[in-house]
Amino acid sequence: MRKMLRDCIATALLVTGTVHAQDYAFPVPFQHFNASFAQVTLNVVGTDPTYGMWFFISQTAVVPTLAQAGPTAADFMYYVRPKALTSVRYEFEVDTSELTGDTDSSRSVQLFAASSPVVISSWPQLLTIDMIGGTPYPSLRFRTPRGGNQPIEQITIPLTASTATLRVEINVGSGTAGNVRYWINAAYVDPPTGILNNAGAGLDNAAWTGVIAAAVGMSSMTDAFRANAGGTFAIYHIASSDDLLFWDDFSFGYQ
Amino acid sequence: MTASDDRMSLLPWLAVGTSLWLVTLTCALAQTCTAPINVSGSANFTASTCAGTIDMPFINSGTTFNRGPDVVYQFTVPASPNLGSVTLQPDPNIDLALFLCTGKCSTYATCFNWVDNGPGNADTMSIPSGFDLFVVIAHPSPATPLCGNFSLQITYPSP
Repeated sequence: MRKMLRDCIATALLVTGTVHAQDYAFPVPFQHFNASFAQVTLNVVGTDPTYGMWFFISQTAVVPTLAQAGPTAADFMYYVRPKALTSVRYEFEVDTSELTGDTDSSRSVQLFAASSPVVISSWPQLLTIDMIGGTPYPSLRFRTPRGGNQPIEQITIPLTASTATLRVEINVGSGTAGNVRYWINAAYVDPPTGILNNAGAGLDNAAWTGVIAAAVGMSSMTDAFRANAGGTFAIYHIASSDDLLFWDDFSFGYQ
Repeated sequence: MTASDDRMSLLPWLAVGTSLWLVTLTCALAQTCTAPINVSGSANFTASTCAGTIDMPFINSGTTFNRGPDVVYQFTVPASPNLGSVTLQPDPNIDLALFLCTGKCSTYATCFNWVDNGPGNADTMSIPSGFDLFVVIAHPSPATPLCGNFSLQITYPSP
């Protein structure tokens, strides 16, 4: 049933070339951005009542080629807060079980970004999460800035299955008060899977003030991803501790 | 423990006239694709890819390249929320790349991260905890020489 539903949606997109936006709506305060060469639909995940984002990146439908300059394909939802948060959590599940061709580390796409209201050292994001192609499963790359003109701290983690539940906690502050903790297939009450904290010295990221905006979806894909990846992947069970949003899964209501 | 420490500890067991460099070279030559050099805990190594007997092709945007011998290290990173790291320092004018992989042999298809900062420049990356990992030292560019000396530092995460 799940596969039939996906096939039906994929076929509809392939034929019409449009997103069925009239069926579902992104929850306020999220806004939706869509650029060429990628299409997204909101849909239930099998029998799961939770709505999610399905990214259809058929090679035949969108005809991406390496000759096309720049990673223009994007589709994500985002929101901006009136005031930055110095500590916030986000979580979502990524499903790559029907994604094809994402088998090489040169093929990457950004899934998440949490941004600062200020730009320090040309790097406004307090955290970005990229999906990096790999075999047998993709990897996730976390990147976060460090104060004191130090280079970006990053870690790439190979996934051990086609689906993964990801939780992150972004803390902004001086010295050790600045850190990013992440959990992969683990709950917040569990010990973090990893901590980005500049080898214990802290990110010292107070200059970034806090998280004022966040985006989840598909963006900043590499040419290699656009040229080789196909099929679909999904992001669902999206949640956050942000008081502007819902703590539990966001509900994508009928419009 | 550093590479020098390793050599010092081995000295009493070496035959007279055996050079320290031969010890490192022998280790490198002993590796095969299915039997990489095992690493236990944080360690420093000095070696040369010229001594490598493995020459695995790697894939870049769907194209396969095969340039110069490789040296492969295998280690298991203990589970810890703290991050370890691995740093490759090639000799000046030697362009070596550092690959981090979950598999060995065949190709670099299982390599999930890599870095190459150019000839003579250090390449560093954080390593995730709780994985069996392979570090591959390779020469991905066509620039000569296609192999050279390097030092490798592996730092395990603190518990």
